[in-house]
Amino acid sequence: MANLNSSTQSQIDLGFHALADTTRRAVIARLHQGEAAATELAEPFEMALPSFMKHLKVLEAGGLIITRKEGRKRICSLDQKALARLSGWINAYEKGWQNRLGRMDAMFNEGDE
Amino acid sequence: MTALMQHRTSVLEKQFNVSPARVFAAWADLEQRAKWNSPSDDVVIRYTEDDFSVGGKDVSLCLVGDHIVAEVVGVYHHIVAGEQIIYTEIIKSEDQVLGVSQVSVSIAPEGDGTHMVVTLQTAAVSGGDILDEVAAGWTVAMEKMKAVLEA
Repeated sequence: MANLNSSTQSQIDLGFHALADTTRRAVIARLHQGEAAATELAEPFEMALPSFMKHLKVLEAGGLIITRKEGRKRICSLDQKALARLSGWINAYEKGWQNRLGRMDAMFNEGDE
Repeated sequence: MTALMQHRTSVLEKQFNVSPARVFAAWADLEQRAKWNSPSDDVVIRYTEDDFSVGGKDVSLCLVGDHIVAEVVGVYHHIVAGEQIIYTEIIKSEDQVLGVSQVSVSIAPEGDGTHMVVTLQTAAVSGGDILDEVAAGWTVAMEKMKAVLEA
């Protein structure tokens, strides 16, 4: 791999390293169902939380998961952009309903005139 | 194991200066519903099925010009005339489900008018495209690696 741009190479190495472990692959599989707190992700595994957190750090370094702090919890997710798209869809749906109710009101007022 | 899901409950409240019966009719009567049931000025709703009864189906197409942007399939689950409506709607685009929402409508007299509460319990979903994106990223990485190894 001598010719590979060093930062690309290290990213690939980290990514493969992240996937080269059954615990970490299981975490990825779980996160496909939606985001979860680190403690919740750790539950199925018989290991101390600090050891489990090391696995999450490897996944994060490999660019496979994204984590954020929410109060005392660390929330892990697979793809923040994809989740943001879904939230955006719900925003638009909610806005659509606000518009509908505004139209309903307008319809009643028209009827009164 | 490829999909993602997001949930939200939204509570929309509205005060109208007409009677509860009139507000209920705005939901029950297709002609009236068609006047307000568009999410935006650009979208025209065309109903293909309309059965406002428990178990009944309500199917509409959302059109922008001649282009169908979404299909909405609603099923009524609970109706109390003048007071309550609960239905679910599935929003699809090109046969792919984008979201499913339970819409609960509560209608009650208040002062000289009506207070209406619409609660939306929505789940937005994504199909396999998310994993495809991840897979595409890895395919690129593998190709780069192969190119380097074979160089």
